[in-house]
Amino acid sequence: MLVELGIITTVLALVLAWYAVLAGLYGAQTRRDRWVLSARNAALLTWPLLTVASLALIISQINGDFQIEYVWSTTERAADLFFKITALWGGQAGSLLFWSWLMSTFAAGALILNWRSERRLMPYVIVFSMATLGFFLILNVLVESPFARFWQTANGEVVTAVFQPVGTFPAIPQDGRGLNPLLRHPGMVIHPPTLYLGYVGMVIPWAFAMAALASGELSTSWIRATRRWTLVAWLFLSLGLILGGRWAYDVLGWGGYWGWDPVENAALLPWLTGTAFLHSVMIQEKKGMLKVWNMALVIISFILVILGTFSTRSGIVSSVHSFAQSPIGPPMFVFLALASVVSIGLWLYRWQRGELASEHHLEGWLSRESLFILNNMVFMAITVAVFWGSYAPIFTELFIGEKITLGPPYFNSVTAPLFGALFILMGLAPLSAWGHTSLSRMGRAMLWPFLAAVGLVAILLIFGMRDVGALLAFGLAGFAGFVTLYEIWRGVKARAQREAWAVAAWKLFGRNRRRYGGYLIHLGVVVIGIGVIGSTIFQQETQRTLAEGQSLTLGRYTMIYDRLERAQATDGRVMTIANVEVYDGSQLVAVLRPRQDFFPNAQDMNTMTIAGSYSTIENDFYVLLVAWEEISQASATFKVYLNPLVNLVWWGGLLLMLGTAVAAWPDQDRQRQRVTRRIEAGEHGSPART
Amino acid sequence: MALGLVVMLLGASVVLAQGGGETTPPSVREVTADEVNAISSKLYCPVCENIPLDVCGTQACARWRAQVRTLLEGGASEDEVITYFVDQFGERVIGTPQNPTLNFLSWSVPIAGVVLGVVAVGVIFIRWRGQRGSAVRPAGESEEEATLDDDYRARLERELRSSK
Repeated sequence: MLVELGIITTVLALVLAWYAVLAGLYGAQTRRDRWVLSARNAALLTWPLLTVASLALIISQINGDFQIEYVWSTTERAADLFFKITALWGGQAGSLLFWSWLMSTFAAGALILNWRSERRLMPYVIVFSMATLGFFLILNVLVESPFARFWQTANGEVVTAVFQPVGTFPAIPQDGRGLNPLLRHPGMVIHPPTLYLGYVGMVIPWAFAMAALASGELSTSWIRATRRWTLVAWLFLSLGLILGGRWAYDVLGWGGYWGWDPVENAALLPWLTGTAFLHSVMIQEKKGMLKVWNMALVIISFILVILGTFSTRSGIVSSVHSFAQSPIGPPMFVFLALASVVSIGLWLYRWQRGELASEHHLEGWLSRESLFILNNMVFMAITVAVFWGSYAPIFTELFIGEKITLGPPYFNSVTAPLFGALFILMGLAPLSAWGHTSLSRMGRAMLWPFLAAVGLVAILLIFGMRDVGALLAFGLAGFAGFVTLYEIWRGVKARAQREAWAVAAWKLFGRNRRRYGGYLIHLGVVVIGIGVIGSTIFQQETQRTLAEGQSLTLGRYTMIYDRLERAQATDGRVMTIANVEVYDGSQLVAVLRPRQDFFPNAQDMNTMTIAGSYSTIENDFYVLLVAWEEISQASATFKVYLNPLVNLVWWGGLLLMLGTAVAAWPDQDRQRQRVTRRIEAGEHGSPART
Repeated sequence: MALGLVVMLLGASVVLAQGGGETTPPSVREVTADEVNAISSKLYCPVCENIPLDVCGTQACARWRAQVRTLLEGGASEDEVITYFVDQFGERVIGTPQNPTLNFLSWSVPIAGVVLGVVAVGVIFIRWRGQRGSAVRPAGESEEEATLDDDYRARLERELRSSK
């Protein structure tokens, strides 16, 4: 019954999505509002339908309906309720349904929130967002159905089909295979949904941009809606990337959080172009410039989202994150090609007609807009470098016949100077003015932050740091950080003439959310940057085999191996746990229990290495149990890392989230603008007729 | 040099043929796990691509690490060990290609991207500066004020001046 409900609602959602595309297109072309309203209602209906479909699958997972292939492959009786629910995104078919549900949620949100304010764009927003949803639902219904079931033929063969083939009867396995062990981590509850939210969120800005191109409504209206939705998507992409890093740090046993893995990079690429857009869009809002470029950035971000989804799910890149090889590769490639051709075609059409021409031109070499343009150039250079590093194996195999791997040495060498340039720009841009800034004025404005950065480098030198690269990196990050703090301090100081400092700070952020939210984001990036610099350049590691009672020393810590123990968890995993004591000098600071979990029923990746770590703001003493003496258990091999400043990566991430939330929060002025736009829309009337 | 490498590899293959795995063969010199990891971190196994050899948990990678150890114990340098694996399995096993053509290709794409970006930005700046209109400064407005078309910043500067 649940399965049938899931199938019917998914198919209905598919039909309605494509109906919305056609009705929206017809309504927009003929200017018949009735059709546009009908398209909107159809688009809105996809959300409850896909909610029912997703709930049907989740309930099947909880109930253990193992006749459903997806339920069998991602859950098992012994699994916790928690993991039975999160199995919705633990495999290809379920995560595609989840993707579709999120897409319908975002589309419904855009239709409800922007219906009045962006009325003229909405018919095409429906067309482009529903075409994307419709495509993913085609995959869900025809290629990778999460409701496909096992059937047994008369000769005992088990086949998989959505509907019962003639001459078969239901085949119901006793138990499921269970979730991939790597996904049995609390981080996996939040990491995939946030990343998907970021991916799916990028579809909405693209739909608005396409709507503007298709309708020719290329005033500032589309950019307002697009910026807000991009910020929402960017927030989730950032959160997904940071949580993914945390998951890798905890579960993958690399001793690190970022490995320049192709799937990590697939999520980073739209984040980079999205960040570039969030900066350059300000130039369009303020000066009416860079219209061609902003449109291009939105299109590139969307293409990178679909490319990332395609490469992760088709098996064209190998990664610990990627799904197994799947038949969805060819249709996804077709969609990617079609979406790219339509997007670029419309963009070129409007461009050559001169409808994306700049309203103003550059007034000075040194100005906020010139620094933002440089910022965009650096972001695009990083995008090109990361794209090439991720897809070079495919290109070289395709065109030269030799597959190469570009690993961390390549990425670190290429991106480090570019990130350094970004820190410089992050420091200079807030001090510059729109239009033109004189060199002397810029020099005066940056004097104190610059001196503070020089002071920081001097202190590091005094404390014995001699690595030139590290000194330079900390200096640049420090400069960007000091500029941000200096700007916040100046703002608070100006207000503090009239009110208490705490009140002044609160009101400053509350009344200038976009500016000071942006500063908080910059601070978050600086803190993350300091964490990355420290943990990359100064990471120490060692591997030793220790007998019980023996010790090893790394940095100022000494670790003593106590004993090994075995345990079995309720979900069937066999855990081998080492007990080690960590001393800072002579003081016992922690007892760690690094372990290896073995999943007897799991296929492929059946072992998980869980680190034990002693964390301080200064560093992480991070211990992995690598091997042990099976019979006597008298000795064990440990890999131990000392990761300086690594926790700043997570703290900086939180600051970045907070800043994004502040910047995205609507302020009173904006609410007033929205009311004004509504009035204007009402006064001018709808362009459509009923 | 080449002869030495051949002898060393023959030695390694004998050890592996005896089911060497992680067991320690008769060694010429003591090799630590850290030395093995330092080289392994630069290698990628073709089976589990994109995971460096030093942190990969598969049996195949454990055998490769044992092979790195054996080669080091036989007296091979880091470069010789890496060259051995590239010869055996191709350029894909290292993070940056050894082959000069592939190496050039690896680095030239991002560098070309940066150069193109710089040229594009330069052209944009020059074109826009050439097209700029003659901005007339209102009477009585200082140069500093003229540069502050950011209303908020202008207000902030005024308030900070008044607080002095």
